[in-house]
Amino acid sequence: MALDYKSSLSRYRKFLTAARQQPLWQASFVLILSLILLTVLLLLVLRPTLITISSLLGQINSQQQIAQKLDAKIASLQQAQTLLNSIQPKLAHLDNGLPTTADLGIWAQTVETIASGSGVVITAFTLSNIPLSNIATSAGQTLNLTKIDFNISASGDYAQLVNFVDTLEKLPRLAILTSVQISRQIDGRLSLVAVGDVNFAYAQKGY
Amino acid sequence: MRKKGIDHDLIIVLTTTLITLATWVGFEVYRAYTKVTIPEVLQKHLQPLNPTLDTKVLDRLEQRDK
Repeated sequence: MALDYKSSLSRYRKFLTAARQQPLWQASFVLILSLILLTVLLLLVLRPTLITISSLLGQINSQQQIAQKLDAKIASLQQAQTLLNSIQPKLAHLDNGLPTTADLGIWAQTVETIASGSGVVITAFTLSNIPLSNIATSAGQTLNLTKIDFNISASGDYAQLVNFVDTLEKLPRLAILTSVQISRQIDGRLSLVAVGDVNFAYAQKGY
Repeated sequence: MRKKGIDHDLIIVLTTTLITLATWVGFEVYRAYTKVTIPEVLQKHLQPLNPTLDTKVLDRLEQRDK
């Protein structure tokens, strides 16, 4: 059985045509137009207010995040302060190992002392890349440290030279030996050439 | 018939205007909400701080001094 859709559609169109001619439809049409126009005008009027409100909400959200981050940082600072207070007595050792000034005179005297204590004779002692007035130079500066190269030549027997190098490595002030060469001289004595560097921190440590 | 055509066109124009306007206002509101600039000085202060310290190094330095 075929569906007689043509006659149904025709009847529906007739109904729509009749409905459009009714006063209620015409009134609704005008009402819809008025509502749309009213919405457009309301949006235009409220636009600055909506933008201001959303901007303020965004700022409040941002300030809350900033406050949280600052609270976390304050907590970290308090923790760091507690830690610093607990290690305060040990900071003097840090100054001994890595002073804030070059202090090369004191270090050279210490090297002389350990040389005489070990029984070796220093034949040459060279320091290079020394910054004037304890100011860091860009050439020797690495990670807030200023590196001063040294080259020590000494002579003595094997045990004395080993003792000298061992003591030099264990000095309170940190000295990094990059190469140590021991060779036999013409008179049968051994000569030592120790190359390395000592550092000092030029930056303010903040305590 | 002509009046009905004009009414129909008027509805389409007003509706598309409303949609465009609503989209425009919505985007502007969203942009105003998300566009919050933090001053550079404050951003520097907001960088997290690591409170841990390698105290073993200090112990080793203490051993060297003894």
